[in-house]
Amino acid sequence: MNPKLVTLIPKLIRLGLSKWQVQELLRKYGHLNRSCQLILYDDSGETKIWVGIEDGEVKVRLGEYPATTTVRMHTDLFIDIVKGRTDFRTALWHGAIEVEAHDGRPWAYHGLLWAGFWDIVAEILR
Amino acid sequence: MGKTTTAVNLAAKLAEKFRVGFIDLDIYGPNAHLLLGLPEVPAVEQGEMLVPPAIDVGGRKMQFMSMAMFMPEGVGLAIKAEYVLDIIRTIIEFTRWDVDLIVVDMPPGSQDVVNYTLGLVAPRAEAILVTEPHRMSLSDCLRLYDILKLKEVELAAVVLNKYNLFQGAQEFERIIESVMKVPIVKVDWTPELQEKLMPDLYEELAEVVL
Repeated sequence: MNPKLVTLIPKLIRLGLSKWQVQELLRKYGHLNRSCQLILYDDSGETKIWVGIEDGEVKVRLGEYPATTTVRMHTDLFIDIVKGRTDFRTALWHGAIEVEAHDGRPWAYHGLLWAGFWDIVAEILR
Repeated sequence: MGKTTTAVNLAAKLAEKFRVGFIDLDIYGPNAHLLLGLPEVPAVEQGEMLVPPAIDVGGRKMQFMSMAMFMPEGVGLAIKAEYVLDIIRTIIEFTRWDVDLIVVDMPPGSQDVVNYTLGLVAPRAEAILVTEPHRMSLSDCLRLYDILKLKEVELAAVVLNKYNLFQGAQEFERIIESVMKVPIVKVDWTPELQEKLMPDLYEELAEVVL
Protein backbone atom coordinates (compact mmCIF):
# COMPACT_ATOMS: atom_id res chain seq x y z
CA MET A 1 0.00 0.00 0.00
CA ASN A 2 1.14 3.52 -0.71
CA PRO A 3 2.65 4.74 2.58
CA LYS A 4 0.96 8.12 2.19
CA LEU A 5 -2.40 6.38 2.38
CA VAL A 6 -1.66 4.11 5.32
CA THR A 7 -3.69 6.17 7.74
CA LEU A 8 -6.43 7.08 5.29
CA ILE A 9 -7.39 3.69 3.87
CA PRO A 10 -8.52 2.22 7.21
CA LYS A 11 -10.61 5.36 7.74
CA LEU A 12 -12.24 4.85 4.37
CA ILE A 13 -12.98 1.23 5.22
CA ARG A 14 -14.44 2.24 8.58
CA LEU A 15 -16.54 4.83 6.78
CA GLY A 16 -18.13 1.98 4.91
CA LEU A 17 -18.73 0.00 8.08
CA SER A 18 -19.93 2.80 10.33
CA LYS A 19 -23.43 3.46 9.12
CA TRP A 20 -24.11 6.08 11.73
CA GLN A 21 -21.39 8.30 10.25
CA VAL A 22 -22.84 8.40 6.79
CA GLN A 23 -26.46 9.31 7.42
CA GLU A 24 -26.17 12.56 5.51
CA LEU A 25 -24.46 10.76 2.66
CA LEU A 26 -27.24 8.23 2.43
CA ARG A 27 -29.92 10.87 2.84
CA LYS A 28 -28.65 12.66 -0.25
CA TYR A 29 -27.35 9.78 -2.34
CA GLY A 30 -28.77 6.61 -0.80
CA HIS A 31 -31.24 6.08 -3.61
CA LEU A 32 -28.44 5.68 -6.10
CA ASN A 33 -27.07 2.34 -7.12
CA ARG A 34 -23.84 3.93 -8.18
CA SER A 35 -20.23 2.99 -7.61
CA CYS A 36 -16.87 4.58 -8.16
CA GLN A 37 -13.47 3.09 -8.80
CA LEU A 38 -11.16 5.59 -7.15
CA ILE A 39 -7.62 5.42 -8.56
CA LEU A 40 -4.95 7.31 -6.65
CA TYR A 41 -1.59 7.52 -8.38
CA ASP A 42 1.89 8.83 -7.76
CA ASP A 43 5.46 7.80 -8.54
CA SER A 44 5.08 4.63 -6.50
CA GLY A 45 2.14 3.40 -8.58
CA GLU A 46 -1.62 3.20 -8.23
CA THR A 47 -3.91 2.47 -5.30
CA LYS A 48 -7.41 1.35 -6.23
CA ILE A 49 -10.35 1.82 -3.91
CA TRP A 50 -13.96 0.97 -4.74
CA VAL A 51 -16.65 3.13 -3.15
CA GLY A 52 -20.30 2.58 -3.82
CA ILE A 53 -23.84 2.76 -2.59
CA GLU A 54 -25.57 -0.58 -2.80
CA ASP A 55 -29.08 -1.12 -1.49
CA GLY A 56 -28.93 2.04 0.57
CA GLU A 57 -25.58 1.31 2.20
CA VAL A 58 -22.15 2.80 1.61
CA LYS A 59 -19.58 0.12 0.85
CA VAL A 60 -15.81 0.50 0.50
CA ARG A 61 -13.41 -2.12 -0.82
CA LEU A 62 -9.72 -2.11 -1.63
CA GLY A 63 -8.92 -3.20 -5.18
CA GLU A 64 -10.55 -3.11 -8.59
CA TYR A 65 -14.26 -3.90 -9.02
CA PRO A 66 -16.88 -3.07 -11.66
CA ALA A 67 -18.03 0.52 -11.22
CA THR A 68 -20.26 3.02 -12.96
CA THR A 69 -17.49 5.64 -12.86
CA THR A 70 -13.74 5.84 -12.52
CA VAL A 71 -12.31 8.82 -10.66
CA ARG A 72 -8.55 9.29 -11.01
CA MET A 73 -6.40 11.77 -9.15
CA HIS A 74 -2.92 12.17 -7.71
CA THR A 75 -2.48 10.74 -4.24
CA ASP A 76 -1.27 14.09 -2.92
CA LEU A 77 -4.44 15.76 -4.20
CA PHE A 78 -6.62 13.19 -2.47
CA ILE A 79 -4.77 13.80 0.78
CA ASP A 80 -5.13 17.57 0.31
CA ILE A 81 -8.89 17.14 -0.17
CA VAL A 82 -9.22 14.97 2.92
CA LYS A 83 -7.16 17.38 4.98
CA GLY A 84 -9.27 20.31 3.78
CA ARG A 85 -6.48 22.10 1.90
CA THR A 86 -8.65 22.03 -1.22
CA ASP A 87 -12.02 20.52 -2.09
CA PHE A 88 -13.23 18.01 -4.62
CA ARG A 89 -15.21 20.44 -6.73
CA THR A 90 -12.38 22.95 -7.07
CA ALA A 91 -9.99 20.18 -8.09
CA LEU A 92 -12.54 18.76 -10.52
CA TRP A 93 -13.19 22.05 -12.28
CA HIS A 94 -9.48 22.85 -12.33
CA GLY A 95 -8.98 19.69 -14.37
CA ALA A 96 -6.96 17.90 -11.68
CA ILE A 97 -9.43 15.03 -11.38
CA GLU A 98 -10.34 12.74 -14.25
CA VAL A 99 -13.84 11.30 -14.25
CA GLU A 100 -14.76 8.55 -16.67
CA ALA A 101 -18.29 7.17 -17.00
CA HIS A 102 -18.98 3.53 -17.82
CA ASP A 103 -22.75 3.62 -18.10
CA GLY A 104 -23.15 5.48 -21.39
CA ARG A 105 -23.73 8.86 -19.80
CA PRO A 106 -21.46 11.87 -20.17
CA TRP A 107 -18.78 12.13 -17.49
CA ALA A 108 -20.28 15.48 -16.55
CA TYR A 109 -23.50 13.73 -15.48
CA HIS A 110 -21.54 11.99 -12.75
CA GLY A 111 -19.32 14.99 -12.15
CA LEU A 112 -22.32 17.22 -11.42
CA LEU A 113 -24.24 14.61 -9.43
CA TRP A 114 -21.36 13.35 -7.31
CA ALA A 115 -19.48 16.58 -6.68
CA GLY A 116 -21.25 17.07 -3.37
CA PHE A 117 -20.83 13.40 -2.44
CA TRP A 118 -17.06 13.68 -2.26
CA ASP A 119 -17.19 16.83 -0.19
CA ILE A 120 -19.24 14.92 2.36
CA VAL A 121 -16.86 11.93 2.27
CA ALA A 122 -13.90 14.23 2.85
CA GLU A 123 -15.73 15.94 5.71
CA ILE A 124 -16.40 12.59 7.37
CA LEU A 125 -12.77 11.48 6.95
CA ARG A 126 -11.57 14.71 8.48
CA MET B 1 -24.55 43.11 -24.56
CA GLY B 2 -27.09 42.26 -21.84
CA LYS B 3 -27.85 38.66 -22.76
CA THR B 4 -28.15 37.52 -19.18
CA THR B 5 -30.24 40.52 -18.16
CA THR B 6 -32.56 39.87 -21.08
CA ALA B 7 -32.74 36.13 -20.42
CA VAL B 8 -33.55 36.35 -16.71
CA ASN B 9 -36.15 39.08 -17.15
CA LEU B 10 -37.77 37.32 -20.09
CA ALA B 11 -37.90 34.11 -18.05
CA ALA B 12 -39.44 35.96 -15.12
CA LYS B 13 -42.05 37.52 -17.42
CA LEU B 14 -42.89 34.20 -19.07
CA ALA B 15 -43.13 32.56 -15.65
CA GLU B 16 -46.20 34.69 -14.94
CA LYS B 17 -48.12 32.52 -17.40
CA PHE B 18 -46.06 29.38 -17.98
CA ARG B 19 -43.97 26.78 -16.18
CA VAL B 20 -40.50 27.99 -17.10
CA GLY B 21 -37.07 26.40 -16.84
CA PHE B 22 -33.86 28.38 -16.97
CA ILE B 23 -30.41 27.21 -18.11
CA ASP B 24 -27.39 29.39 -17.60
CA LEU B 25 -25.23 27.93 -20.34
CA ASP B 26 -22.37 30.32 -19.79
CA ILE B 27 -20.34 27.44 -18.41
CA TYR B 28 -17.19 29.48 -17.85
CA GLY B 29 -18.87 32.54 -16.36
CA PRO B 30 -22.35 31.88 -15.02
CA ASN B 31 -24.04 35.03 -13.72
CA ALA B 32 -27.79 34.50 -14.01
CA HIS B 33 -27.98 33.39 -10.39
CA LEU B 34 -26.92 36.86 -9.30
CA LEU B 35 -30.38 38.07 -10.31
CA LEU B 36 -32.39 34.86 -10.03
CA GLY B 37 -30.76 33.36 -6.94
CA LEU B 38 -29.47 29.83 -6.41
CA PRO B 39 -31.56 26.79 -5.48
CA GLU B 40 -31.34 25.74 -1.85
CA VAL B 41 -31.11 22.05 -2.73
CA PRO B 42 -28.84 20.24 -5.19
CA ALA B 43 -29.80 18.59 -8.45
CA VAL B 44 -30.88 15.02 -7.74
CA GLU B 45 -31.28 11.94 -9.83
CA GLN B 46 -34.61 10.36 -10.73
CA GLY B 47 -35.15 7.62 -13.27
CA GLU B 48 -31.55 7.88 -14.44
CA MET B 49 -31.94 11.56 -15.29
CA LEU B 50 -30.91 14.66 -13.40
CA VAL B 51 -33.80 16.64 -11.96
CA PRO B 52 -33.09 20.36 -11.75
CA PRO B 53 -33.93 22.08 -8.49
CA ALA B 54 -36.31 25.02 -8.42
CA ILE B 55 -35.81 28.65 -7.52
CA ASP B 56 -38.49 31.08 -6.47
CA VAL B 57 -39.04 33.90 -8.94
CA GLY B 58 -41.79 36.34 -8.07
CA GLY B 59 -43.58 33.68 -6.02
CA ARG B 60 -43.40 31.11 -8.82
CA LYS B 61 -41.18 28.05 -9.04
CA MET B 62 -38.67 27.99 -11.88
CA GLN B 63 -36.49 24.95 -12.58
CA PHE B 64 -32.89 26.09 -12.79
CA MET B 65 -29.52 24.74 -13.89
CA SER B 66 -26.25 26.62 -13.80
CA MET B 67 -22.63 25.75 -13.25
CA ALA B 68 -22.83 28.18 -10.34
CA MET B 69 -24.67 25.39 -8.50
CA PHE B 70 -21.73 23.05 -8.87
CA MET B 71 -18.70 25.33 -8.50
CA PRO B 72 -17.47 26.95 -5.32
CA GLU B 73 -17.73 30.74 -5.44
CA GLY B 74 -14.73 32.32 -7.16
CA VAL B 75 -13.39 29.11 -8.69
CA GLY B 76 -12.59 29.26 -12.41
CA LEU B 77 -13.10 26.51 -14.93
CA ALA B 78 -9.93 24.99 -16.40
CA ILE B 79 -11.11 21.76 -17.99
CA LYS B 80 -10.70 20.56 -21.55
CA ALA B 81 -13.04 22.06 -24.16
CA GLU B 82 -14.65 18.69 -24.89
CA TYR B 83 -15.50 18.33 -21.20
CA VAL B 84 -17.37 21.62 -21.37
CA LEU B 85 -19.43 20.26 -24.26
CA ASP B 86 -20.10 17.18 -22.11
CA ILE B 87 -21.52 19.43 -19.38
CA ILE B 88 -23.85 21.04 -21.92
CA ARG B 89 -24.97 17.65 -23.21
CA THR B 90 -25.70 16.58 -19.64
CA ILE B 91 -27.79 19.66 -18.91
CA ILE B 92 -29.77 19.42 -22.15
CA GLU B 93 -30.08 15.71 -22.85
CA PHE B 94 -29.73 14.06 -19.43
CA THR B 95 -31.86 16.44 -17.38
CA ARG B 96 -35.59 15.98 -16.91
CA TRP B 97 -37.29 19.33 -17.38
CA ASP B 98 -40.93 19.42 -16.26
CA VAL B 99 -41.79 22.78 -17.80
CA ASP B 100 -43.66 24.40 -20.69
CA LEU B 101 -40.59 26.16 -22.03
CA ILE B 102 -36.95 26.70 -21.21
CA VAL B 103 -35.03 29.96 -21.47
CA VAL B 104 -31.36 29.32 -22.23
CA ASP B 105 -28.83 32.03 -21.53
CA MET B 106 -26.10 31.36 -24.06
CA PRO B 107 -22.45 32.33 -23.71
CA PRO B 108 -21.14 35.17 -25.87
CA GLY B 109 -20.09 34.89 -29.49
CA SER B 110 -20.20 32.14 -32.08
CA GLN B 111 -17.76 29.83 -30.35
CA ASP B 112 -17.78 26.03 -30.05
CA VAL B 113 -20.22 26.05 -27.15
CA VAL B 114 -22.80 27.99 -29.15
CA ASN B 115 -22.39 25.84 -32.23
CA TYR B 116 -22.63 22.63 -30.24
CA THR B 117 -25.64 23.79 -28.25
CA LEU B 118 -27.53 24.95 -31.32
CA GLY B 119 -26.90 21.55 -32.86
CA LEU B 120 -28.46 19.89 -29.80
CA VAL B 121 -31.57 22.04 -29.53
CA ALA B 122 -32.44 22.62 -33.21
CA PRO B 123 -35.12 22.51 -34.49
CA ARG B 124 -37.05 22.69 -31.21
CA ALA B 125 -35.55 26.03 -30.25
CA GLU B 126 -36.04 29.60 -31.33
CA ALA B 127 -33.32 32.17 -30.88
CA ILE B 128 -33.39 35.71 -29.61
CA LEU B 129 -30.40 37.73 -30.69
CA VAL B 130 -29.40 40.27 -28.06
CA THR B 131 -27.14 43.10 -29.07
CA GLU B 132 -26.36 46.75 -28.60
CA PRO B 133 -27.09 49.07 -31.51
CA HIS B 134 -23.63 50.26 -32.42
CA ARG B 135 -21.14 49.65 -35.22
CA MET B 136 -18.82 47.42 -33.20
CA SER B 137 -21.49 44.81 -32.64
CA LEU B 138 -22.90 44.65 -36.16
CA SER B 139 -20.47 42.08 -37.56
CA ASP B 140 -20.97 39.88 -34.45
CA CYS B 141 -24.72 39.98 -35.09
CA LEU B 142 -24.34 39.04 -38.72
CA ARG B 143 -21.98 36.17 -37.87
CA LEU B 144 -24.36 34.79 -35.26
CA TYR B 145 -27.30 35.16 -37.64
CA ASP B 146 -25.32 33.15 -40.20
CA ILE B 147 -24.69 30.40 -37.61
CA LEU B 148 -28.40 30.29 -36.70
CA LYS B 149 -29.30 29.75 -40.35
CA LEU B 150 -26.59 27.13 -40.69
CA LYS B 151 -27.92 25.23 -37.66
CA GLU B 152 -31.53 25.73 -38.77
CA VAL B 153 -32.54 27.55 -35.61
CA GLU B 154 -35.26 30.10 -36.28
CA LEU B 155 -34.58 33.66 -35.20
CA ALA B 156 -37.65 34.92 -33.33
CA ALA B 157 -36.56 38.45 -32.49
CA VAL B 158 -33.66 40.82 -32.09
CA VAL B 159 -33.28 42.80 -28.89
CA LEU B 160 -31.52 46.14 -29.21
CA ASN B 161 -30.32 46.69 -25.70
CA LYS B 162 -29.40 50.07 -24.23
CA TYR B 163 -31.15 51.65 -27.21
CA ASN B 164 -31.20 55.05 -25.55
CA LEU B 165 -27.43 55.16 -25.09
CA PHE B 166 -26.15 54.99 -28.66
CA GLN B 167 -26.17 57.59 -31.39
CA GLY B 168 -26.83 55.88 -34.68
CA ALA B 169 -29.09 53.28 -33.08
CA GLN B 170 -31.76 53.93 -35.70
CA GLU B 171 -29.35 53.23 -38.55
CA PHE B 172 -28.30 50.00 -36.85
CA GLU B 173 -31.95 49.08 -36.42
CA ARG B 174 -32.61 49.72 -40.12
CA ILE B 175 -29.76 47.41 -41.18
CA ILE B 176 -30.83 44.62 -38.82
CA GLU B 177 -34.45 44.95 -39.95
CA SER B 178 -33.52 44.72 -43.63
CA VAL B 179 -31.22 41.72 -43.17
CA MET B 180 -33.02 39.62 -40.58
CA LYS B 181 -36.67 40.55 -41.16
CA VAL B 182 -37.84 39.68 -37.66
CA PRO B 183 -39.44 41.75 -34.90
CA ILE B 184 -37.04 44.15 -33.21
CA VAL B 185 -37.50 44.95 -29.54
CA LYS B 186 -35.82 48.05 -28.19
CA VAL B 187 -34.94 48.16 -24.51
CA ASP B 188 -33.64 51.33 -22.91
CA TRP B 189 -30.97 51.02 -20.29
CA THR B 190 -31.71 51.87 -16.70
CA PRO B 191 -29.28 51.32 -13.81
CA GLU B 192 -31.90 49.39 -11.85
CA LEU B 193 -31.53 46.52 -14.32
CA GLN B 194 -28.20 45.70 -12.70
CA GLU B 195 -29.79 45.37 -9.30
CA LYS B 196 -33.11 43.60 -9.65
CA LEU B 197 -35.49 41.79 -11.96
CA MET B 198 -37.67 44.10 -14.05
CA PRO B 199 -39.77 41.66 -16.09
CA ASP B 200 -42.29 44.27 -17.20
CA LEU B 201 -39.60 45.92 -19.32
CA TYR B 202 -39.54 42.70 -21.33
CA GLU B 203 -43.28 42.33 -21.84
CA GLU B 204 -43.03 43.24 -25.52
CA LEU B 205 -40.31 40.63 -26.04
CA ALA B 206 -42.39 37.99 -24.25
CA GLU B 207 -45.32 38.76 -26.53
CA VAL B 208 -43.12 38.62 -29.62
CA VAL B 209 -41.57 35.24 -28.84
CA LEU B 210 -44.91 33.69 -27.96
